[in-house]
Amino acid sequence: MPDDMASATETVSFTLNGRAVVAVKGEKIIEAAERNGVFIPRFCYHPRMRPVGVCRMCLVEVSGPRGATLQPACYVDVAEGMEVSTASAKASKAQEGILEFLLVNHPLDCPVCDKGGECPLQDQAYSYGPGESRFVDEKRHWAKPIPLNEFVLLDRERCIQCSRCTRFAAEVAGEATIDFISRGDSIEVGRFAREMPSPYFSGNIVQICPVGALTAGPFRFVSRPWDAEQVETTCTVCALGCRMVVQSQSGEISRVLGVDSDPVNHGWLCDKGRFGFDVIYSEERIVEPMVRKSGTAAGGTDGDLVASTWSEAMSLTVDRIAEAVAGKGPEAVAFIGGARLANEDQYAWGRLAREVIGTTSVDVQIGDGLDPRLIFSLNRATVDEACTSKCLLSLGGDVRELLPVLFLRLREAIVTGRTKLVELSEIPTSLSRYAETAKACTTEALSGVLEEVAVAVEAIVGNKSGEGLTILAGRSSLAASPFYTEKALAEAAMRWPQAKFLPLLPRGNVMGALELGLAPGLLPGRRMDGRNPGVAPGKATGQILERAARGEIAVVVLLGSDPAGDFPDEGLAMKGLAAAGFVVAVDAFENASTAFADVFLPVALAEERDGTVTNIEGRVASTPAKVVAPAMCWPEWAIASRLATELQGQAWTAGAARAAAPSGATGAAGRVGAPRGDGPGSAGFGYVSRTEILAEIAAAVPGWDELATVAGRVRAGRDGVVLHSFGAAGESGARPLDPIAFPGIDSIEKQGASMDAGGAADAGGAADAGGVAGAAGEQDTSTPGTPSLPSLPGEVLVPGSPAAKAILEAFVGVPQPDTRAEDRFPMRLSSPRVLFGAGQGVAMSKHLAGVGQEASVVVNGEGVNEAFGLEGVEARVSSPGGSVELPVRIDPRIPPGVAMIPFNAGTAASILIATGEPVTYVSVEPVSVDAAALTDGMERDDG
Amino acid sequence: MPHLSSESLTRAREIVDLYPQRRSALIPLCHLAQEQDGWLRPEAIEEIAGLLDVTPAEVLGTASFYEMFKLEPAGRYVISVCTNVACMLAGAYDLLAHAEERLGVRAGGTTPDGRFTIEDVECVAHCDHAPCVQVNSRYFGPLDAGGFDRLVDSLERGELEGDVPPHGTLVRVRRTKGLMA
Ligand code: SF4
Ligand code: SF4
Ligand code: FES
Ligand code: FES
Repeated sequence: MPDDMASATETVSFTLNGRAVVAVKGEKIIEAAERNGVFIPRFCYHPRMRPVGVCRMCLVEVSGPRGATLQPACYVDVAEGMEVSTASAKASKAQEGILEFLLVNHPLDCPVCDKGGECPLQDQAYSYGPGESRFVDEKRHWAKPIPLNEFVLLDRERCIQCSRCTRFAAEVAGEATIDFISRGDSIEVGRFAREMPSPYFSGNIVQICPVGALTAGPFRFVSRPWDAEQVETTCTVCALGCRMVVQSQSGEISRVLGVDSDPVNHGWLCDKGRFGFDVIYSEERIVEPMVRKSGTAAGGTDGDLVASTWSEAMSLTVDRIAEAVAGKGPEAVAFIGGARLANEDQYAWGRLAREVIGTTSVDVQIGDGLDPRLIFSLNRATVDEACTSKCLLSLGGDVRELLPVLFLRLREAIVTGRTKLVELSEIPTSLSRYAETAKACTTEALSGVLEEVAVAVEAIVGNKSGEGLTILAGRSSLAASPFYTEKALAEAAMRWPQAKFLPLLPRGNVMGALELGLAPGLLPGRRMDGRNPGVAPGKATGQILERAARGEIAVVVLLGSDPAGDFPDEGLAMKGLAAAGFVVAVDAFENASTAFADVFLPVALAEERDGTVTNIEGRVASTPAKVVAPAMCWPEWAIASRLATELQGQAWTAGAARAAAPSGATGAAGRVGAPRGDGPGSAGFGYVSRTEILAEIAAAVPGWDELATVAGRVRAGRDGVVLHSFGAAGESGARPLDPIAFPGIDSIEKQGASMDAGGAADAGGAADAGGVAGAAGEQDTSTPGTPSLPSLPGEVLVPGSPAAKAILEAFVGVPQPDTRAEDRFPMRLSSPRVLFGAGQGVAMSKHLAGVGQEASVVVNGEGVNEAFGLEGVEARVSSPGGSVELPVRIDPRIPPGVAMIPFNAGTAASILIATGEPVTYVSVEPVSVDAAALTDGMERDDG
Repeated sequence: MPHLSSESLTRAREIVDLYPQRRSALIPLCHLAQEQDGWLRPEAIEEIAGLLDVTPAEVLGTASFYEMFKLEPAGRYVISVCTNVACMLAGAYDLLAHAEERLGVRAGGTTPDGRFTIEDVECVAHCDHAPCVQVNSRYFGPLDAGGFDRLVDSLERGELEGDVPPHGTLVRVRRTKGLMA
């Protein structure tokens, strides 16, 4: 349906139930009627899919040359002068008849059906049905329910053959893994026995099935719609931020449903976002503070983490931070992670780190991202802009693995011909088959290949300025230094000044963290930090770990991060954490890194805390709490606030803050480390609520004033607000919740907090908070490919600004480190991130158990086939950094000479990768087969 | 490991090339695979899907629409007993009952030795010879119980080898010019 009648050029007039109305040319009767307030019953029609006209529920009377006939309203375009009656005797009889037919074989088991109470069949049978059935014969029977995959169960008796599910699979997800089998009254939805619908988007078919034929295992018999409460929120599992509702019953989350948000997810969710919510109920969850007792506390793992109290855990943490700063200076305290935090949490932790402690050693990215200064120097695209640009140029990264629903959006844009994809990737991605041009290209070759495809790209967009071009900024592999991608991105931005970029950084709220103070080298609001950074942005976590390994870091705070399991160089992470004097885990689960923790501070998770998050577009949207966190789990901002308050009681902090305050900074500096005295019995931070922090952000952080309105209230916006929308589209209009298209949402009363902060924001910014214009930064350029960047203290990175240009030039100007395979390690390791890895989000979810990807090494069979013979053979994969044993899979799509190991399926890849090396080369040898023969084969492939 | 023989595969590729859209060759390729194996094996379905750039579920969905594609092993001889009106009036039910008794399997079943499958079908357009049967799509009729037994005997003895090719075989003469499929 066209959003905006005004922008439609051609209209047609027609009569709807005797009333003269106007439709847009090309609009279907069902859409035009709905916009004019007349609802026509339907089953197969779905506003996010092409009409097929198979269920006939939408029959209406339409005048035509042969008089009035019954026609499917979902399939017939409105024509000039058409007369449509949706409720005439003839139309009503037809609708009754169709419903009677649909119910002929329907088991009418609503009392035991999960869809009961929110079922379009039930609802429309009441409204449009005949009220009773004349069918007295035996109905058909099937075994039920049968599983379609890990999540979805099928009850074929309830199916009305609307084909919504099969069309979703083929048309939206692009994988027709289910189809109608057989015909007539033995027709059934089915799958090919050996092929399961993949667990990327399968939950959507449950949500859009207009009957209870498809049900979700995790929701089976869990709740009744009329018992559920719900809140509209934003998914925080990846950085796309799909709009969704979280429903709960009796204080426990029962289900998650996608909300049809025009600019973001079109109602779809991925299975990880939809089903992974049960992590909060994991038995492994840490729900009370813990302190390591007995043995040496100094980074040792002797002694156990034992339950403790907040006051003990806090004072221990405060003491160790104070000691560290007193003994080794503020840079001896480092913060790693924070992508899971809400914006407000990130801001609070950023202030704690920079202002109270005074360290610049903070990094939300764990060696898996891109330099934030570069990201902020690039024009940002919204998802809508990407989908309507003439050309998409991908520099790497599989969007389906990284930001799944973005794959659906981009795929749709490509297959409908709105945009064309040019893809450069180390290994084929889920979008490759739709690409105009897909080139296999190692990350280190990106710059050169970019040069080669430039002509093709310019031919598609029809200009040389890059107008109409969106570049997908992701990393093909974490086994190659980000520098190559960064350089190529900077070159693309210089070559095409009008091009826009969509960063493919997957971690939940990583963009919020980069915007709000957990980015190395940047202060909140993309302001360059003038102080000696002590770290090279974009590689800060690596440097923090290196310094820790050298004994220079006394305290490491892990903000929901697991470098030992998640940093590309596992060896370095382990060394660093082991050598760090004191490790504080701010987390909900134990992991490989928390084995080094001396203190564990338990936190409230997304569904348990109010807040806002920022997605890859820079869209800030709310994540209101739905359920209550376990008693001892605190929201992260409160932990930061309390730590700050206690630290500010220490002599060195106040002094440090005062000394560090820039002379020019006036009102704002008053905030810094100085007691505010307005919190209940608190000093310094003294935040009492999250809304207070958000109001401060809106008032104080450059660019975030987009959130603030006149009254000091914070703007919500139906789908959030796009930050720094430098002339780009911001909010979308009203979004109807359609109970037939997306059943289950509208039938339930909405409740819960919105993003509206309510609290008055203080006038006058605290923008300068911590902005200490010190000596120009001495950059660490020892890491290969680290550009020596201009320090530009205080500059706000706005694309197109002189500062941003200087950043781009710096990235372009750095010579590329040489890479060459050694004889011993002839194959190039490629290590992309996968959706269902071994991280907490999958490992701690019972629902997702069974879809987690097993680690394996995938190679092209060519040349090595004889040696490996069959799939599944164990191979030893070795690099200069380490060696692992993995089962082998053969995949002819992997370029010869490349060994692919999913990055986050266990630590196999991070054991092999040495972040000091720009590219990781490996050897792959079958554990029991003649190694020499194999390596020969590989060398042939390489050359 | 390809399931289709190299000869079948060559023909499959030729057939695919005849169509502007690869997926249009779906039904011809199902026939081809059924000709090779006597029924549509799952391995063949997967291979056809790969050749046509569709999913196995789509191949299965299409093939399952048609009774003549067998998704389970069928006998070398598929005997289709017509039970539609003309044949029914001429005694088709008795014929079917006899056929079931003679071969020891119910309609829809296959004899354990894999030689015969019996099925009941609707009108096969041989009404003037009612009651009739088809064996691998070749007509026989009118048949009474004795006639049916003689037919089965001849099939068992291999006497009809020339007239009735194994199940799945569509034609035994290949064109060598023009559309070769
Ligand atoms: S399972 Fe549901 S969505 Fe699929 S065809 Fe049947 S009724 Fe429609
Ligand atoms: S695509 Fe990302 S934001 Fe959307 S549901 Fe999946 S994990 Fe959540
Ligand atoms: S035929 Fe129109 S909604 Fe199904
Ligand atoms: S009714 Fe038997 S062939 Fe026509």
